[in-house]
Amino acid sequence: MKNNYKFKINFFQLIFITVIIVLPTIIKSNYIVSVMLLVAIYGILSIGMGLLLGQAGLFSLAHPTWFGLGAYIPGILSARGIISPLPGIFVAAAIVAFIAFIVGISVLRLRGPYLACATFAIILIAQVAAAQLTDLTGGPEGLVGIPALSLGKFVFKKSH
Amino acid sequence: MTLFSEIIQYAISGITSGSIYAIVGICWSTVFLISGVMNFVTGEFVMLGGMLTCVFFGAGIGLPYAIFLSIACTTLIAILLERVVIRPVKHPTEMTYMLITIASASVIKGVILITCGSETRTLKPFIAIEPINILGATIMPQAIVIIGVLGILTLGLLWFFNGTLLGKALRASSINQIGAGLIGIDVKKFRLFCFGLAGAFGAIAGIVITPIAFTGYSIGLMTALKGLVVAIVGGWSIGGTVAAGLALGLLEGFVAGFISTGWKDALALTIMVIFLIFQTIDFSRWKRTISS
Repeated sequence: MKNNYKFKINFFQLIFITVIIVLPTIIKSNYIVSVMLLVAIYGILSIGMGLLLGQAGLFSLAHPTWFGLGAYIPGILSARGIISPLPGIFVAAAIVAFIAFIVGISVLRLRGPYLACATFAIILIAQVAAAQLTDLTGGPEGLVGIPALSLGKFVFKKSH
Repeated sequence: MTLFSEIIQYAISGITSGSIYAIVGICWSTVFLISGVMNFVTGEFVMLGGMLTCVFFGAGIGLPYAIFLSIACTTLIAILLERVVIRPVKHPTEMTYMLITIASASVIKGVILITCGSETRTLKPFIAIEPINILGATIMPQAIVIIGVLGILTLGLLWFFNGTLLGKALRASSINQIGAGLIGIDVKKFRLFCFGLAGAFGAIAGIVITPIAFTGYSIGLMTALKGLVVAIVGGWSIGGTVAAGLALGLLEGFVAGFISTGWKDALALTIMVIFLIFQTIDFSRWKRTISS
């Protein structure tokens, strides 16, 4: 019974989520919008984490790695003009899912604190790799030249 | 500089940093063996040792007193951590301990960042003699201090665990906590003691490394992970940890010298992941499948 609640949504939770989605459309403030964007991004991240920790019971800390790869892959692909940003997101999701699958096959042989240690190590390995592959990721200075998202001829630009 | 003297130079710098990894690994394994806590604050002990010494020394206290004060403060912080944060946990599992210590580590890091600033600090070498030349390679006097400190700490700990009653009682409580409690060993006090010991050792490591490598508020995490790698590969034993620490230091020294400095941090972590995964593979079963 108790487990069932994890797959349903509570009335108060529904109200809270609705407020967060509606708030930026009512209050025309750049600050509120940017905060709500962060809320949405971390929300997506925590759904993934919750799925692993809550439903599967696996204490994996490698989540920031997939988060970072998901930012870098479409960024690199679209900055080099290989693919436009919007389909790039889905391509990146597929690539990262495949990488996570391959890593999972080997790492999920471990259990308990050792799984956490190994996945924690993966975060830092990815961080070192991102800082070292300067011609691919731009290194510590960051990746520049990513075009704005576009759908057909419509381009999502910053409102301010 | 010939290739031979270059190899010796990298080996010396590798053994120097390997000694630090070994001390940090000892901190991990003493705490883990007695209490089962994976203590991610270990790296912050190293950072606190170096930073507090720099702060006290900068405030005009003499170097020996500054060193003593910072070791005392770090030990106190370690003991407080066990008493205030670790012991009150209601349903202790290794996961909760791990999350608690990761969070405590970032709290300590944040406090140091706010109070001491983000600039890196360093100290003068402890013994003021000229660098020694051996076969074309130079040994900094501080490297001798570091290796000497590792030797003293390891021998002291081995004597403590094998030669004294208190150490034997500690070993007993690491084997079976309930059994040790039944024959009158106060396991809770020993956990406190082990955290204090780890704090003091970490602080000593942080202090002796400060004259050759700059210290800053953010060095804790990498140091902690290197220590964890060493402790896991060394099988959580003192001798194994020291051997693994020196081996990792040598390997990193050669990788940094001949391949690339930037990738050397990833090396230790990759070794740990591969080592952990290899341990789960049952090779005897493979041999059977191949032979049958």
